[in-house]
Amino acid sequence: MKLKVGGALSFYTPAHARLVEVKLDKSTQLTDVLYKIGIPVGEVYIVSVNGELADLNEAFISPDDEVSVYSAVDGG
Amino acid sequence: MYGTSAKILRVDLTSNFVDTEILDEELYRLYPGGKALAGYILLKELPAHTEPFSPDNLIVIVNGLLTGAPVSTATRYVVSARSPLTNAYGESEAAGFWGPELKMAGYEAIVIKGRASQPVYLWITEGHVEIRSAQHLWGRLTAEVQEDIRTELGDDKIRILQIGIAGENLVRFAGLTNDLRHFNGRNGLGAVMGSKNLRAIAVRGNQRYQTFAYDRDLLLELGRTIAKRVPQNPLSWDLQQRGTPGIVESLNASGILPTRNFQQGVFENVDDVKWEAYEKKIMSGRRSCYACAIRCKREVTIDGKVSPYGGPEYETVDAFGPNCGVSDLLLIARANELCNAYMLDSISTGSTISFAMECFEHELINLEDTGGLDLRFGNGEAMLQMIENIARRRGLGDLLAEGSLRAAEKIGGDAKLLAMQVKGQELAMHDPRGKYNVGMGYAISEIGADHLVVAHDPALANPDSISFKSAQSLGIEEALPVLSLSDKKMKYFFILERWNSFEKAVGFCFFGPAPRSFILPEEVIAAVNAATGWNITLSEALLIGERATNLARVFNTREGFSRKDDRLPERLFQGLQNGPLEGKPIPRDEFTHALTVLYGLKGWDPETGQPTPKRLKELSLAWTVDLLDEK
Repeated sequence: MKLKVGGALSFYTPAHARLVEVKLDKSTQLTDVLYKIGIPVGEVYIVSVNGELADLNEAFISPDDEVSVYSAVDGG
Repeated sequence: MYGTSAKILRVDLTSNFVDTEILDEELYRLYPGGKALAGYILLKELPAHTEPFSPDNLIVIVNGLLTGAPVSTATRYVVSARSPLTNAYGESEAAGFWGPELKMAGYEAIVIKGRASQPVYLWITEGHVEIRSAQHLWGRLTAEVQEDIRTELGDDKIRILQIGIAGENLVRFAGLTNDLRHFNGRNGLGAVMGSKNLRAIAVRGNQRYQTFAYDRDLLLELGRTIAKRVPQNPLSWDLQQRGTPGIVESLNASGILPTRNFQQGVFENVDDVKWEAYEKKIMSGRRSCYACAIRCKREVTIDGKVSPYGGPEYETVDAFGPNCGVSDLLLIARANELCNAYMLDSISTGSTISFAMECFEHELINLEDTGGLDLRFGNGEAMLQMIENIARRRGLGDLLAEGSLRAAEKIGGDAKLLAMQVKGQELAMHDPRGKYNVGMGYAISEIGADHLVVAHDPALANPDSISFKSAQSLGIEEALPVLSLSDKKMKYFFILERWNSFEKAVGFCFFGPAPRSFILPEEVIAAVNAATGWNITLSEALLIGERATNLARVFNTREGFSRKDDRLPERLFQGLQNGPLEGKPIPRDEFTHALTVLYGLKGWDPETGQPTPKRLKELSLAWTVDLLDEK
């Protein structure tokens, strides 16, 4: 799967990468994927799977999925 | 007294009279700088119903208590006056270097009244204040004026706060800039300065903040601890890495990136304006404010030349990008340059042009009105031309220079429905249909639509987030949904508003303290106490913040404002046209109820929205009670 890491979440990725590729053998809960990468789910605000918004706690990811996660956005 | 010189410089431009005054500590503890002291001075000294462009209007410029302290993000000063955009209490903050420099020159505040007979500028150093001719500076771009003043005074380290041609021409959303890169953009206060024939205030000083501090070593230690945390906290790290333009894509994904005058929340060409494009196409460096370890400001290169005006912030990117249907970052960067060269508020300018574009598409104005400009959404070249026309008050620009509300009233028809404003001030680039507290902030703010009244809802929606955890010491006990207007959410709004108001009074940037960012509430208070030797608590801090808000509310009550003015544009009670929040409006009845609840929490009359004498007395504002009857 391809994981696009938006907002402040790239703080947690190796080398602060904004795009992370993760090999999955089977459908996997997104929270488990994030845990393995080191992204705290408490900081994830928006999730989209293949362009559609999804619920962080209910999303299961297939090996070919493209997923985006973003942190909460405050005033700018 | 520690922490401040408490010295006010008073300037009467009509009589050329200059004087100084030193405030006592008891007063300073009630109104410790920033918006608190500005509100106090304005309400005490400005007669009711003074016209914004009258010589009798005051410009009050005040540092926060900690402005200039060696603590990251404590850099702010406020400019205040009766606003020509809203006719209400006017206020606009900026960071940068000018506020700390004013403190180094020995002053905390400047109160300016009268009108000079010819253009002038002020030159302030330690123990020396001079009113100098600005005839040769009038009508020139801000970068030229900064260079000329520094050359004339023989010191390239002089910090210059100035208006531009837009302020000279009394554009109702003209702002001020310091160092060409930091802006008191909102509320049209540059036009008030222009009405006084005052082009600039040049400052130079040498007195470091530490010499004012009660406990210098503790303050320095706090400053070091806070600075070290910047790269370790994801919120401050992100501001350092990407600055405010970094939020474009997240807002688009949330469906609340203002697009085509707030009709839509998703911009189809977001890839052209998001952070990665900004970084690749225009960014060429990072800049900072005084003693701030974040360095969230961006430097950009346009046509091979580093812009002296800094890079567009998020607000500007969206105001001239998606909200005008424009996806060319170079045009957006040029729009930013034009605003800053003429010194226009980029939010109100972009929003007013966006309003005009929708009027054009609905045929409420036509090619004859626009002077032949095809002012459709997406026409970036027409947008740039219109910025110049506004600043120079040419053609339709002369009407738009009055702001979207006044322009809509003149255009007639349904134009007023297209003006995205509150109390006459245009909305910032945050769509409250996806974060209801921001909508409440827009409605209730004394200065018109303002997006910096409270931390935005998403920051406090997850109980496991850093932001939520850091807000718990303020009394935020439960994470609440962004699309909620519950009584408990209003209770938290009230806490957050008071906290934010306190931050402003003592000089912190919105990007410093929690819950928006990385400095803990207890550290903010510790810094104030180290600087002053006081022993203020969180409760006293919240009272200071509430007192400051009430000063502005009394000011507005005196000018005839009431509950009817705490309202949102009708469009926000309709659904967005696209994206994940398509078709979902702010629920009107819930919003109305929440406003009543919030008034109750604040001790304001639920029918009128005006402060009750009882609450004013509890806030040590008994002296303002009689002012309520001057309306």
